[in-house]
Amino acid sequence: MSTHTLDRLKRLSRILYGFSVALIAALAFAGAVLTAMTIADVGVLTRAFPDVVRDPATVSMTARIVSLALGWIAIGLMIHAIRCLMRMFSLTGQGRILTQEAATWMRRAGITLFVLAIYSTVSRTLTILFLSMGNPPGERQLAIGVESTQLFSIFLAGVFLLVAHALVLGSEIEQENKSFV
Amino acid sequence: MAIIVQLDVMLAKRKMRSKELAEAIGITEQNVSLLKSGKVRGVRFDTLEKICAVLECQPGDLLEYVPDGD
Repeated sequence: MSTHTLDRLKRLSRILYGFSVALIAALAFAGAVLTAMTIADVGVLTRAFPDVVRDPATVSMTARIVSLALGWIAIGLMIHAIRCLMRMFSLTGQGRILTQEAATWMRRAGITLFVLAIYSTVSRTLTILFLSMGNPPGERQLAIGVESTQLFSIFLAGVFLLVAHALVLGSEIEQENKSFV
Repeated sequence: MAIIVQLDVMLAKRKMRSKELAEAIGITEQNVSLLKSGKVRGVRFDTLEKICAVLECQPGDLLEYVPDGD
């Protein structure tokens, strides 16, 4: 690997590390704001799911709390995936690119993204179910669907896992190369 | 291993020290030591070329094949 490429990778890693910190802060802040808004005004949920909730008065506090908890689990998974990537960026920023450790963190991020994609489908279904609980009989809903963003997340997770395997292979080659004089 | 590195023999013949060879060919003394003890998985052709040039010898003078006696 040329020094120029290595320097560029290190610089990019440091930028992405900083971006990850900002992203985690933004996610936590957005989650907190949405939580506060949802507790204060149920209309937030009504606007988010207009086909599910017609009358905000039918949404119980339990339904609101469950919806928020489901949302926070998703945020937690996102933060976990970003933290895994941060660990990887930290290693690559030090020039430790083709290492087992970097591959491990990349693989963990990929697995978390895969779980997140599956979870978001389940989470949306459960949220709709809970929010429509207070609706009159016949208007309660159980919607199961896969959106393009979820498919894209699964695709992205697959790419992450592929790159992680490539990193493992690269680290083995690097180790072998080091044992040559 | 069936390949025996005879670098120490050649160094003795040329009355050269490991440190001098390391400086001449541009590798660390530690790597020369590892090479002498045969604790490496391989030698790059360019390293071999430099060693041969400095020690004025052939690759065959540095490496010897001895079949494993099992």
